Amino acid sequence: MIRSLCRLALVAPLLAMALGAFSSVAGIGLVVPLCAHAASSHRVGLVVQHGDGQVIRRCIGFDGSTISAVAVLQASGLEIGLDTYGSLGAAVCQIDHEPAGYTTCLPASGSYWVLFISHAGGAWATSTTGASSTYVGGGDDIGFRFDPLGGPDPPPPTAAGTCPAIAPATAAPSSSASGRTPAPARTTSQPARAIPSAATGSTSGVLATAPTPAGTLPRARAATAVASSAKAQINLGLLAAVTAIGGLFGLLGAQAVRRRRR
Amino acid sequence: MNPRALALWSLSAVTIALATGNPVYRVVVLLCALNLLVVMRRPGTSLRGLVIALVVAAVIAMAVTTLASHTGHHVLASLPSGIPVIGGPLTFEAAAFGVATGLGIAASVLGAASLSVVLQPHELIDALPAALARTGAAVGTALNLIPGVARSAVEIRDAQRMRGWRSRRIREWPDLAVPVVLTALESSLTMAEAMEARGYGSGARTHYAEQVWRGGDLIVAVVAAVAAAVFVGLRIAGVITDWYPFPDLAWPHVEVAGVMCCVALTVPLLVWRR
Repeated sequence: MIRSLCRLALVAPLLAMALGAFSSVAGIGLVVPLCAHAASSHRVGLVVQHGDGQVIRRCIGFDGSTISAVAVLQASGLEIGLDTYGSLGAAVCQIDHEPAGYTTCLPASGSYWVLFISHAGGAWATSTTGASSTYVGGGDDIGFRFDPLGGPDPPPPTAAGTCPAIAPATAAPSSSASGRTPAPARTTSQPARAIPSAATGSTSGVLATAPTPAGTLPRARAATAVASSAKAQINLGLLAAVTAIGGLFGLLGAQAVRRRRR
Repeated sequence: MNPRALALWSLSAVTIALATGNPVYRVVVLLCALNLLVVMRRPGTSLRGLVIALVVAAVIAMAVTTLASHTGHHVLASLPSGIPVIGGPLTFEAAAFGVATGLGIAASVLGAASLSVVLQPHELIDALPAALARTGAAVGTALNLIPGVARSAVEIRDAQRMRGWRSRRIREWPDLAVPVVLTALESSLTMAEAMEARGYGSGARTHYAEQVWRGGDLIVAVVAAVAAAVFVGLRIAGVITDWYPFPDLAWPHVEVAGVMCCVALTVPLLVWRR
């Protein structure tokens, strides 16, 4: 009986490993074919709110399953300033010439750029990792808000409508909400300037700078599927971790029971 | 089991535990190491002292982080700002970061503890490469004397108390310290003579029993090394990310591949038997 318990506790983590391997394979199987059908299969909304309240919106298209926040910023065409913090990755010091100048990227006092993430149209949440370590998938949104160090960090305006529901077959007018930095408008099929991103083997570019009338997007379903796939992978990661922790606790318990019987 | 295979497993466990600040991975590594110690420890070895020491270390780490870090939005309590270092708001996020730090310490120490809890000291010294044999023997012998010195200190203290000695003032401590130092020196000389009598340093190192690599040892070494390498590779590639609870506490992001690497550390439980 005890031996069976021990074997069961050992099998549980192995099951978690098998589950993880399956989910990884499943994730690749879903993502690759969809990307293969279009130059930019996925889209990420970018919302930048300056300290004076002005808002810039961009819709960034990219290939690959994920893209880093830094790559999204680079692909947006906005002026940015970065600084590296060793293993912590890159920090965003300046966006669209705000602040006008800086000597320290993250000052002890004053304001800095706070990074927010919204998954699949959900609420904004402050990122727990730096901009170069934060990855998002298709259908997610990234927000930056120039915020004072002290006090709460209110999120930027909602990203709803940043990425249009219609395929930008013709180039959208190049206009920024703030007018500070004119951004080039691109189509999905003919990117004016493909910028390599942090996502493996992917290219990215601005799809739209302002909301366009609602319509039917052939790749909308694909983007939603990819977003769901990314969500499922996150859940499976937690599931695998919980299963492994449970199995290892069970093994400890089985050892304790066996020792007590002796 | 081959001590070198266990040393490689230990190095892999510590590497994974320190490669990321994500508490989920650290918990899995900690449980893997704890299971290994429970199953594979030497007969008669108790883990109680080690576990108590780790709990104390983790609690201290959590307390220090909570008191010294005042970042985060969810304030649990506030200390007067006039108090140096610890004055200011005590936040829930700082406490969570302290817990993650404590888990990292515990996972690393348990990973390394397998070398002292599972192996005999002579097995460990024997596993050292030839270039480090003399250094290892010297360090091992010195460390081996520590418990002996502690035991003799207790015995001498009891003997002095029986003679009416009381440690009320620092000025009276030499009554205890001098006999302890003399006893330790005498033990060291005895040890040196014993080693010389057994031919230590007279020629190339010999082995009472050669350590051989069996199939299970190779499996443990390869799986542990590959798991650590993959984990570090994923960490460098940005697939596995660090976890920071500031400014708002959020669930850590967990990658299935990272969990697999941690779970792979259970392989000694499958192939080794005590």
